[in-house]
Amino acid sequence: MGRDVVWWAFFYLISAFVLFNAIIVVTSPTLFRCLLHLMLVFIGVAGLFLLQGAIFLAGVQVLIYTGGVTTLILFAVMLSEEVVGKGRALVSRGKGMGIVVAACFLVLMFALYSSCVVFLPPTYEAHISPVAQFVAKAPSSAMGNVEAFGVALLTQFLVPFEFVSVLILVAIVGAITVARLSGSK
Amino acid sequence: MYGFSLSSFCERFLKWTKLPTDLLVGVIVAVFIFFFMTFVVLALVYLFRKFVGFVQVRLGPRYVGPRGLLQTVCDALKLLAKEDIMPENADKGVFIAAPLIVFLPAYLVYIVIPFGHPSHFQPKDLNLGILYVLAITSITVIGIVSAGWASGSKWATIGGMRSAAQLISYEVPMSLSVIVPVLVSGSLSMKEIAQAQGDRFWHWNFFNLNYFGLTFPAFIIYMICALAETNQIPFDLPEAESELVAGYNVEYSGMRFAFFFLAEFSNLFVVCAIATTLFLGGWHAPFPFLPSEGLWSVLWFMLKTWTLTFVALWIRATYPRVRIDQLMEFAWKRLFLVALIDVAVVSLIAATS
Repeated sequence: MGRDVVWWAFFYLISAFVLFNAIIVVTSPTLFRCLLHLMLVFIGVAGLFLLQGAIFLAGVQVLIYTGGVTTLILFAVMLSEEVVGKGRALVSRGKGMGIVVAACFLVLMFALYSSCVVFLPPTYEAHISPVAQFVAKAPSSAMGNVEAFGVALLTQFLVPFEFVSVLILVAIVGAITVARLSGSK
Repeated sequence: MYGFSLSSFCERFLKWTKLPTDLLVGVIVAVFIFFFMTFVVLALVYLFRKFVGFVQVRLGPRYVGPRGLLQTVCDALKLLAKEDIMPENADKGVFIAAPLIVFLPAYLVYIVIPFGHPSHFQPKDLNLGILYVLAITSITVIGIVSAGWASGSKWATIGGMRSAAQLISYEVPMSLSVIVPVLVSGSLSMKEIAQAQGDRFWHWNFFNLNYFGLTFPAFIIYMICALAETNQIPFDLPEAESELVAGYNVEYSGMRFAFFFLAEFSNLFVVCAIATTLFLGGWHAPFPFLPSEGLWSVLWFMLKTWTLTFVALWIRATYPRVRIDQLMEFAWKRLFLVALIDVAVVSLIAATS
């Protein structure tokens, strides 16, 4: 993976794009516009994945986050009361709590980041995640990105993978329960 | 001969600007794809007007100019000459962006489709292949909903909402049905999926005898979902004229409407081209003794794709619209179930063989 000037230029360009849109997401008074900018954020993050050579991850990012998550939130917004109209001024309650959560998240990110450095052999660069590392170590070079990903998920990362499926199952059951409760009244 | 040729000019240009050759090739391919897309839409509109005019006994398309050829020209001129109106309470930025959000995915999908033998007629074979197609086309729905919302009109908004519900619902069985050919050929790349099917039509994924024909439900489900994803007639609730005036694009006119129009027709062609690649053997001839090299491969591909497109138009000309609750129930209770079972069965066979 060449890390030349063009690469870094793209990296900073896309990062600036993501940050710019992310700021609009939290400051725009119109709910619908926030969502459209959220979509741009997701696409930008997919671009960052592409820069790292994680093609599969980029594709899934666009498919799930842009096509799935954004559309679902969009649907929820369309069902809300202020669909037609310019929206209202931003009201944020619990600013203190928000700062605490954001700080916790920052700590978590740094912890993850530094843990990657610890477990990595010296030849790998610090910002490659364990999964990407596994992919990079995949036995044959003919093996594509996708296959390596599948193998990694079903061998080294099987337990987290299964935990995620349990989590999704719980979410589905929860959603059905909530929908039933409000429907029966 | 005259001391000037396109290739030498390009070479000199590249040397002068120090740009990589890939970039120039990319730009040429991009421009070519755009013209190809326009041509496809023109042909499709002509076919659509003639055929639907024939089925529904419409006079215009059959008598304007020689053999009705001028009808498409009239349609295009009418679109371009129309005044470009923006409603007063529209959200300007989103109103302008929405047609582009719908148009771009329709254009970008062309990159991975092998229109003939992939060594010459596929713009770029991505490792990601069909996943790229699903990812890119899933953006379309956001454009449609944005168009509906930004118009600031209740008809457009309802059309956008319906579209969101419909497109999310039908994307699920569609993705599942696409997994079946991926399982059979063991690759996501469009080129390899088509290559794996070979030039014997009983090994094509629409009725693969190696899998006892169990890939057939996936093909049917894909075609149904493709019609729903492109808002074709049994599923054209987002633009139901009788209930919603014209749905999400009711406030659009002129060039902006033309973008929606272009994207819609182009998408119809693209989903049929993808169905051809995934299920009908792509550029391969149905029998091994038939030629399928060079331009023959394009011929076979186009023949299959246009046949599917024709069937879609046929359905469009003859069937009435479904109701919204029927639409949802059909996707979640029937198609989803059948697709899930089909994927399970096919993966079982693929794992044991």
